[in-house]
Amino acid sequence: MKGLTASTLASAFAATSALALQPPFPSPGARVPQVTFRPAVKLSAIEALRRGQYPGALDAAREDLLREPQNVTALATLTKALLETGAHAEAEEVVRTFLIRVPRSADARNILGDVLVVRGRRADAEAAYLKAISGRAADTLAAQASLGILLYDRGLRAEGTLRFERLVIAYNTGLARTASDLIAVGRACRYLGASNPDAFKDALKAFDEAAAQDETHEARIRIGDLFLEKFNGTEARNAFDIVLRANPHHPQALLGLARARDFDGERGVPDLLDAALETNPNLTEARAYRSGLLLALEDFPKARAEAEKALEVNPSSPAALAALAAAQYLAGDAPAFEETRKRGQALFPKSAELLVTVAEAAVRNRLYREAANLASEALALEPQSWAALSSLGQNQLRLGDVEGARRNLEKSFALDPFNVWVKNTLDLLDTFSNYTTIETGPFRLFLDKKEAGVLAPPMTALANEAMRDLSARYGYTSREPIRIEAYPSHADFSVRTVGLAGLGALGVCFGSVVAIDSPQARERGAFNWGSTLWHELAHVVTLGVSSSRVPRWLTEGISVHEERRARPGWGDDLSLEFLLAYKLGEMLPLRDLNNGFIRPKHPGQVSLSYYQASLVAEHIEARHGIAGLRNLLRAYATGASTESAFQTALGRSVDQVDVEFQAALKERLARPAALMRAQTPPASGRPPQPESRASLEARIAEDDRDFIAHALLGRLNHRESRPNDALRHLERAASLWPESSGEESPYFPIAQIKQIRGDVDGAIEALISLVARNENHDEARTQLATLLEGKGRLEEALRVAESSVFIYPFDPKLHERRASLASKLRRPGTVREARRALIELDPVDKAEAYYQLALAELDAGDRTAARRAILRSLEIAPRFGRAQELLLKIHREESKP
Amino acid sequence: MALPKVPGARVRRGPVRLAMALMALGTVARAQDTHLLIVAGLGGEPDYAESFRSWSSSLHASAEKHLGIARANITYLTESPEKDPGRVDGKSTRDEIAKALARIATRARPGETLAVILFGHGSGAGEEARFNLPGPDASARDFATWLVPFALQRVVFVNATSASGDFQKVLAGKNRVILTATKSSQERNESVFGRYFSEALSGEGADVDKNGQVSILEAFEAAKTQVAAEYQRERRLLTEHAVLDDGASGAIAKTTFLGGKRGDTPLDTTTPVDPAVSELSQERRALEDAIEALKATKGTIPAERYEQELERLLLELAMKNEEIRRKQGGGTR
Repeated sequence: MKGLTASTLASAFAATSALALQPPFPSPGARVPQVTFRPAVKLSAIEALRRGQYPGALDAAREDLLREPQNVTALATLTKALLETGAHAEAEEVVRTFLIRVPRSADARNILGDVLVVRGRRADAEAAYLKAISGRAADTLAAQASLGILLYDRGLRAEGTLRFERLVIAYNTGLARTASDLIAVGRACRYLGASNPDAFKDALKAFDEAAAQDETHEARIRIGDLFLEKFNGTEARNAFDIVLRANPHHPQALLGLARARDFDGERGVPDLLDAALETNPNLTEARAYRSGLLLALEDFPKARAEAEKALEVNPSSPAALAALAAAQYLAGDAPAFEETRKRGQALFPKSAELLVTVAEAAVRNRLYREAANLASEALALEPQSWAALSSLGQNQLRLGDVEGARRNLEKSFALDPFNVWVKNTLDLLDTFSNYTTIETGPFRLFLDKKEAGVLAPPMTALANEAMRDLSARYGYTSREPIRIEAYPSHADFSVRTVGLAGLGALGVCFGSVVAIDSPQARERGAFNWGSTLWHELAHVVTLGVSSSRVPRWLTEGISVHEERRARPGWGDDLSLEFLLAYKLGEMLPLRDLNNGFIRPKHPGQVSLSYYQASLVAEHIEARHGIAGLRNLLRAYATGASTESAFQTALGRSVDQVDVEFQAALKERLARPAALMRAQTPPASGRPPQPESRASLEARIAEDDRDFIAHALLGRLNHRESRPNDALRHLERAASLWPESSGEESPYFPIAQIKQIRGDVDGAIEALISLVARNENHDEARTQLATLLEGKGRLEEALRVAESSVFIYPFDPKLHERRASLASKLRRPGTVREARRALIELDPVDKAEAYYQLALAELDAGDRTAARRAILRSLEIAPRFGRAQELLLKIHREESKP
Repeated sequence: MALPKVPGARVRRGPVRLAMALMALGTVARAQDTHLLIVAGLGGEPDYAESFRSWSSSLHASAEKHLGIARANITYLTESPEKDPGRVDGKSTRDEIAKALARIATRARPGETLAVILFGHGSGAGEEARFNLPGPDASARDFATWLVPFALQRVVFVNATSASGDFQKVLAGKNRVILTATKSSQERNESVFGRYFSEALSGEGADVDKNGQVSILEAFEAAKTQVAAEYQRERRLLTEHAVLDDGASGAIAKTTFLGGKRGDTPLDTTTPVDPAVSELSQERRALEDAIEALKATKGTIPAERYEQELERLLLELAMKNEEIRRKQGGGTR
């Protein structure tokens, strides 16, 4: 099964919109242009508004209205300009003044309705729309749609639906002619889509037709919103881009683009929101969205403040109410949450939206069980909510309830076949028949049947070791079984984790459910599944101790710290990238460390943040013992904020700990940082080029303690077959910074050169240095084990071979080596384990493999298993002489009195 | 005989039923009867040329050393004979291949085996599927013509080149075992089948039934498994699917060997002189037949009963062998 990307759904979701494909605006990371309202020439109000020249538009519209005080078009343009720039009160005043002048204007009533909706006075808006309809306003269809939506939203679903259906009839009988009419039809169809997914396509068709004659940008904005709602970020972005090319300041388009970028996991989202709010500081949806981003950063107070600001503008905004409820829920303010929830329910009694929003926010904060409960409650309010069904299903899956998840996801998909997450997840669930569940102690291993035989034994042993160690350190034992899933396809792991293909992570923890890439999911040597599993199991513990309230940076930091404790070389080590970033002052203050994970400024900041967080965890343990970390996690479990948790557990403020940490870091990194000099920066606009020999030599001449120059020049010489020069520079690099373990590490080429020269001991020494710091270097381990074995250092050779199991256990040669070494060292248990793995690897010569297993079983004292194995051998090759002899031997031993 | 169990292995099923096929096969082909032609074709790039040379050269070495084929019965043609002067008999041109086969045809006696093994690149399709050579290529039709004189011999034809699949249809025939590295001419990526086939014939790992010899079927299955493993290891799409066709669901290939000197349990094809041993041998054969018959019931009878019966028969067989060895003066080992 391959995961769909969001854009793949374009074909499923009627790509009828003939949108021109042009470069996106603005590019990721680009600064959003500042708002400047300087029309070059005097434009009509409508044209100025279309171009986003708001002061000009407002002036022109005011002049028009002054000139023609009864002109409803002028009123509509002025009101629109005022609403788009956030002057909601003035907009209402303008319309009401107009109505004093022209009290019977049905069209003005419709405009008033729109203003009142934005101001959150939904009952008054209903009344205004009713008057517009009864007065036969020119925009009656628009009023019908708006009224239908208000009715539908406040629980009068039948009444709302009736009005939507009237709009469909109007379209079918040719009564919907103007852009405003067609937009009204589209809005109605979008609501009808809640019970009939095909209606979404009708909505798109209507919006498309409207866009062809729309002088504003409303139709395009609605197209973009609809695509976003239906998980098609690419088409959504196209729609918003078209608007932004005409009006770079359009607040809704900027908000839409921000959401589309966020949907695609791109950077620049907060900048776009800032730009939207600069044009319209009262854009409640933008504030609500910003609140959600702050929640993801676990900054609950700011998220709450932002939602409250939105509600000041529009006290009945569903998005703002949901954002406030989410902020209150995650901050642990149950009474306030309940109050907001009741407030929302009073306004929208049959809507799942508020609770689904809170559920999804809970997911982002790793509260999966709570999210499932919230989704269940949402479903009770709105049983046909595909969003609630989807949220419930996804969270059931995260909690390990596969069948419950399948049931609800299937229901959700029936209601919304455009949901790419649900589609991908259902496809993934279809592959679960290829997996087997192995119950072993507190673990439930969920493994591909083809991999289970090889993977289960080392995974069980490692998981047991990890939980023993971590439970002792943190005082936590999981009350429920821990489910460990391993996916041989990274795309499947990615879908399992986020519903989409393309996730960069190796593992994920959903509380007591852990999912990882299996060793076959990535290129051999690309990662270490053992350290990945240890990392995720550490999350199980830290989430468990803190009742899932631990901040992201801390749980990640502890996990990496625990990896490093588990085995030499596991977990992130001090890297060249980190040292260079440190030198450039790119370390994040402790209180902003979450940003490095959730809103990184550049892709590399994520891995830097992992390492920095792990150093903080290490620092806390060094200063306060394991009790420090344990107490910190327990403080979070009480719902404490980070500030309060630090005070309670460590007796220090966050900033005090940060100061102490930075001081310790400075001392620790002083020496290696002094040795690092970044590559000469390239000329502006040019991609970085590898440094030339001359440039590297010049660097060394200038400073013989330049680690990077020595490492690079050593490698260059090695590539160019100049072993003497290579070795000189590589060894110098190794002496300058012995901890080097990344791409730049000099140890592997040193070992190669020394092997060629016959200096086996030297090669061994270099390889030992490398594997002690690099958890993934499989080739180095293979070579090291061979050299050690050749030197008779069997114990060490076996240890190295055992460490390779955590990189790629599907290599028969590895297990042959393990069996052979263990046999020489008289370790029958290990021999047996290796021989069993070899059987699972489907060898060509199965008869021989079973024979060898039988010998191993016999050595390990299990005669029954030995007999079973030898029978399998002879079943394949009945004439196999050595196997026959072994069978006779076993039989005769058993027959002895 | 069971069909290959190698995942993805494809042995064409012929219309002949197994028992009939085994009866029709007559005697097992023997090492001393094998005539071997090894051809390494055009390499193109140095890396490929070296690979083809290395695979063919190691096969040549083991043909003599391990398989026991007389040097006089081996013809070895390569693109660059000067690189292996002690072994190579000539340049791998179309003419030289034709001449070599014509020469073997004059020497091979009825019932003997001709094995032709080609390493290199392939191209074309259908009858015009080609084996790329220095100078003019040799087509599938050419080989069909050159093999006409071998009507009374068993022919093992192994085309281990890319795009070799279409040789199957053109060369298929009675008493022929045709192996190609790919299932069609559309599989044009470079093939690694030749390397693993050569290794399988040369080593012991492919002797799955432990009779001391590697049959053509065993070598094919081993190579196929190794090819799949290599692609899996390298995380590449499996773009070569080797095919074996002998018109008898692999039954002929299973009893075809290119050697017989090696092994601690050689094929028992001779009639023992000692009547007592002869009787024991017959009993042993009966036990082997009973084991095969039992294996055919696996999954259809209760597992426990199957295991008990299997153990009983295997024990009897082991004891029978022990007794035979004792009577032959070998004692138990």
